[in-house]
Amino acid sequence: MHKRLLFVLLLVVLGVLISPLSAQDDPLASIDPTGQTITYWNEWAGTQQTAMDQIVAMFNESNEYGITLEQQTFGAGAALPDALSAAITTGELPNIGGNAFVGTAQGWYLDDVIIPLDAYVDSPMWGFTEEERAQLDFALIDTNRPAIAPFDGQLLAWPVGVSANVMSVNMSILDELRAAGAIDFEGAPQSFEQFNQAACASTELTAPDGTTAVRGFAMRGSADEMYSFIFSNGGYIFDAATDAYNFTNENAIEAMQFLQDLYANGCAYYPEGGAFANTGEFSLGLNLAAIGSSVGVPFIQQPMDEAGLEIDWINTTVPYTEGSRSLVGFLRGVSIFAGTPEQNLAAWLFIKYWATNADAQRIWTEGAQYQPYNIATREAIAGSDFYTANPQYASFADVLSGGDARLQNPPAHPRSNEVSEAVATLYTNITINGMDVAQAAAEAEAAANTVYNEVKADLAG
Amino acid sequence: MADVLPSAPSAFARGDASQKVRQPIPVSKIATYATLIIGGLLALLPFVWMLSWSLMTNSEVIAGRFLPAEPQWQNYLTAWNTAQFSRLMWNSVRITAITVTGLLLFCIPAAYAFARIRFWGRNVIFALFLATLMIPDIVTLIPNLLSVVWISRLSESIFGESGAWLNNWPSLTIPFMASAFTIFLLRQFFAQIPEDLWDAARIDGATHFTFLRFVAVPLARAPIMTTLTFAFIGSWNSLVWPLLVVSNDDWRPIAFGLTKFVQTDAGDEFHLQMAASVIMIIPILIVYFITQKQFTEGIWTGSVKG
Repeated sequence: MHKRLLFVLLLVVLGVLISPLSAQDDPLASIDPTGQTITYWNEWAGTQQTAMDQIVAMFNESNEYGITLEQQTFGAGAALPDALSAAITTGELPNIGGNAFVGTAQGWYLDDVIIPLDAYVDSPMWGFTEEERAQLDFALIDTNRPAIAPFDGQLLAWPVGVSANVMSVNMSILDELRAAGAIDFEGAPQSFEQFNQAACASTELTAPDGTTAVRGFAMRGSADEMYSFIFSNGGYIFDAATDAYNFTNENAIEAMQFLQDLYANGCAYYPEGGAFANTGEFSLGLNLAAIGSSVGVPFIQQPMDEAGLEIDWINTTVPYTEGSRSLVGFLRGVSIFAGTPEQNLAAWLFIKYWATNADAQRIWTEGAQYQPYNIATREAIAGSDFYTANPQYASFADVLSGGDARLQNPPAHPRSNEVSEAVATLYTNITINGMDVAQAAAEAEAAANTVYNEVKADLAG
Repeated sequence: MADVLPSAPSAFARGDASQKVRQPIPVSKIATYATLIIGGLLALLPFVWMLSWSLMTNSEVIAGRFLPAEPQWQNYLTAWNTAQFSRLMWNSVRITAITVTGLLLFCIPAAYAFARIRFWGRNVIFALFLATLMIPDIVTLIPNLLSVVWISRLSESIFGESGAWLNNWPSLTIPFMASAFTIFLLRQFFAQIPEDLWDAARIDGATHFTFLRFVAVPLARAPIMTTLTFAFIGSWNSLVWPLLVVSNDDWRPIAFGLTKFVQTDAGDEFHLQMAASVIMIIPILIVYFITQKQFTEGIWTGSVKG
C-alpha cells in the first residue's frame, strides 16, 4: 500500500515536472477550446453552400470539445469584403473569414486582425499528425506563405481548394474541323501553332444556332488570362533576381504578340456581356475556346443543357511550348481572425477537420468542385462516380496529376489587384487598341513596378 | 317681347366633330410629346428588360435574346428559395415599418417647429440641417458606423445583450429616423399654412400640439405620403449600411438576397438575378401606386373657405 502510494506520488511529481516542458514545446498545449462558439463568415452559395452546411453540421455534431461553429453567408460579390472591412473598423470580427486571395490576407495581417496559422499547423498537440501531414500537398498550401517582409513566409490563409485558369475547348468543333481537313492534329491544341490554326479555321463554321459564325477564341482580357499564355510560352512576369515585375522578357513579348496577331486576324474576339461572357458564349457553342475558372463547369454545362446542345468539351491548359505547360492557380483561403486563444484554437480545429476528415473532403470536393490539396481525397475522387459524371472536372484533374503542367501564381502583395488592372489594360492595348507590343508591355511593366515599389516602401516603413 | 324660340344647338355644341374647326397641332407640341414618349420608353426599357430576362433560361440570356421563347415562371420560385426571400422580406417589412414610423414621429414635429415656432437660433439650426444634405452619404458612412458601434456597446453594457444595436433593429432604423430632407420638405409645407387657420385654432384654445395633430398633419397628407414613399424606398433598397451593421440573417434586408446571384470567379445567373430583382421591387411598386393617388388629391381642398 505504502509502495503504491509512493509510486503514485512519483508519477504526480514527474507529471508536474514534465508539463512545463511540454508547454514550452507547444505554447498552445494549455489552451482549452471546450464549449467555444465561433463564427465563420463566407461567401458560399449554391452547391458550395450546401456542401459547407453539411460539413459544419458534421463538425458541430462530432467534435469532442463541444465547439459550435456558426456560419454567416454573405453571398458573392463585394458583400463579404465590405462586411469584413467594416468589421475591422468596428472590431466586431468573425473567427474565420474568407475565402480570400493571399494578397487580401496580407492586408488583414497588416491591419493586425488575423493570426498566422503556423503555430497551429506545427502544434504537437493540435496540429496535424504525421499521417495527416503526409496526405497534404504542402507544395500547394505553401503558396499562401508570402516570402516578402513582414510576412516572412508565414501561412496567412488555409486554402479551400485548388482552382485554376483553365481553357475550355469545344472538342465537337475540333472534330468537325478535323473531318473537313482544316486541322491536322488530334485532341485539343497543344502548341501555339495548333491553337492558331484551330481558332482561325473555326471562324468558317456556323454555330449551333444556325445563324452566326463561330468566333474562334473568346478573350476575357484579364491579367490571369495573359499570364497563362506568358507562362506557357516559357516567359515570366516577375524577376526574383531583380525583385521586380518584368513583362518585357522575350518569351512574354512573344506570347503577347501571339495574342495580338490572333485578335488582329479575326481569330479571337471580346464577347460583350460582362466578365463571364466568354464562357457563357462557349456554353452555346459560339466559340472554340474560352478561359475561366475550373470551378465554373456548372455555369457552362447548365446553359448548354438548357439549349439542348450536346457538345463534347474539356478543360485543359492554354497552348504551350515544350516544358512550359502552365496553369495560373488560385488558392483562395480562409484566415483566422484574432479572438481569444480559445476561440482561435477552436477555429483552427474546424479548419483542420475540413482539411483532413475524409467525408468532409469528399463532400467539399464534390459540392465545390475545387481540386483537393488532400492527396488521399484526390485519389479517392479519381476512382469515384463523381469523376465519371464530371468529365470536365476529371480532365482538369488529369492535367494537374499528369506531371507536365505546373501551377504558377503571380506575386501576391496587398496591391496585387492594381498590377492586375495594369496588365488587363496592357491586354486591351495590344488587342483592341493595336498598340505596339513592346511599348505597351514596357508601359505596363513600369506601372506595375511603381505599385510594387510603393508596396515595398510601405511595408519597410 | 316676342318669345324667342330656343335656337337649335349649334353643331359645335352638339359635338359634331365633322363640323369642328381643326386646329393645326403646333410643331413644338409634337416635339415635346415625342421627347416625352422617347424619355418614357427609355425609362421603361430597363424594367422591360429585367422582366424579360427574369422569364428566360440562362442560355437565352447568354444568347442575347430580348424576349423568352417560353416564359420560365419557375425562375421566380428558384430565386425566392435560393435567396431565402421569405425571411429577408419579413425582415425588410419590419425594418421599413419601424424606420418609417420613427421618421414620421420625429420629422413631423421637427418640421413644424422650424416652420411655425419662433425660437432662438431657429434659422441657424435649420441652415445646419440643410447643410448636411450637401455631404455625400459615403463620407459619413464610417463615422456613422463608429458612432453606432460605440452606442451599441454602451447600450449593451446597460441593457445586456438585447440592448445591442449591432445585429439588431436599432442600428438599421434609428439612424434613419431623423432625415434632413424630410424635415425640409415638410417644413416648406407647414410654413405655407395660412395664419388664419392658426388664429382660428388659437381662438378655440388650440396649442401647437393640437394644431399640429388636428390641422397641420391632416392638411399635410400629401407631402407626408411623399416623404413616406421616399423613406419606404430608401429603407427597402438599403444594402450597404445593413452589410456593415448586420452579420446574420435575423435582420438582413431583402436587398441582401440579390448578392446570392453574383458569382465572383465562375459564372453568372442573370436570369435568376433579374427574377430576384423583380421580386424585390414589387412592394415598392405597390406602395408607389397607393401613394400616387394621394399626390393627385388637392392639397388645399377644403382647408380654407371663403
